[in-house]
Amino acid sequence: MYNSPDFISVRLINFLIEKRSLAYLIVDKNGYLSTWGGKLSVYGLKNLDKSKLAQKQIYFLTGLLPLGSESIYIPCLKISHGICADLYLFPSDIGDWILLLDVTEHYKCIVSLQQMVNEKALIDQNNHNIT
Amino acid sequence: MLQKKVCMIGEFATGKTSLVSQFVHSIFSEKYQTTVGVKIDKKEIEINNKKVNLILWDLHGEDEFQKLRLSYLRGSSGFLLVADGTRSHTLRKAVDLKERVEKEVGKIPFILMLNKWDLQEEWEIEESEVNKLLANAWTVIKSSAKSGLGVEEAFQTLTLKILEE
Repeated sequence: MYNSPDFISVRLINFLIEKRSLAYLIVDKNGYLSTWGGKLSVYGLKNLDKSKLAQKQIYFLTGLLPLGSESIYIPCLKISHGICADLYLFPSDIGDWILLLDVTEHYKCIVSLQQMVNEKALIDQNNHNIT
Repeated sequence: MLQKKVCMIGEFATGKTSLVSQFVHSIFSEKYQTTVGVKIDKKEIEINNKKVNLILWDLHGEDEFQKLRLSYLRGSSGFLLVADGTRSHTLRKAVDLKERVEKEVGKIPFILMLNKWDLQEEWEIEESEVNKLLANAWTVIKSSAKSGLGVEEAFQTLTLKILEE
């Protein structure tokens, strides 16, 4: 297993917390939240309740859980208030972990490029139809 | 209350985001704004006295750079396949996407929306192509995110199909 010096690990974790608004949740195999932490409010996740099904409180989880043995990566999920998150889901013995990382800045760069690409493609298709 | 995940699938610029916007917020914008990744929205509807919360996954349109990500489809109960009636190749793309979705999640309810019916004078999709799909038991609805035509009907019909599964 790769071991990075503590200095690097700490820097990386601090970076993820401060710049990527690291947040996490654990959902048990019955679909209830068992624990959570990090900057969940950035993603509009507030007033979480262990007695309610996770997908009733965090609606984008609908259909995703429970996980089998595989992990899932869902990039660029635009959930609320213009926030775009990368979602990582990992199975474990205590339940399914859900990790959120804010990628809004990255998203903004890509979306402006993609907009230009698509607009050009539409113009090309239009010109092709005319000729 | 039942909660069902529904995906919007189709080539770029077919009007998927506008359809969701019309359905959820009754808003239409003429300005084309591309989707990167996936946008999540929700709307509660009532079918046969049963309330259903639809969780809508508006997936980026497929193009040269953004290919359909199969992880987005996980746990979907149904999908709306969207083609732009003024660009005939988007129908062929929709047919191809439908096959790829079914390979990943199996056969689940879907509806084909032939969108932009407000631009009828620029319509490119031949009736004969549509008839072939109808003959294969596809449900096809002409829609306009601009006028709202067929929008409510498509979501309602799909939800009904999901509930009948």
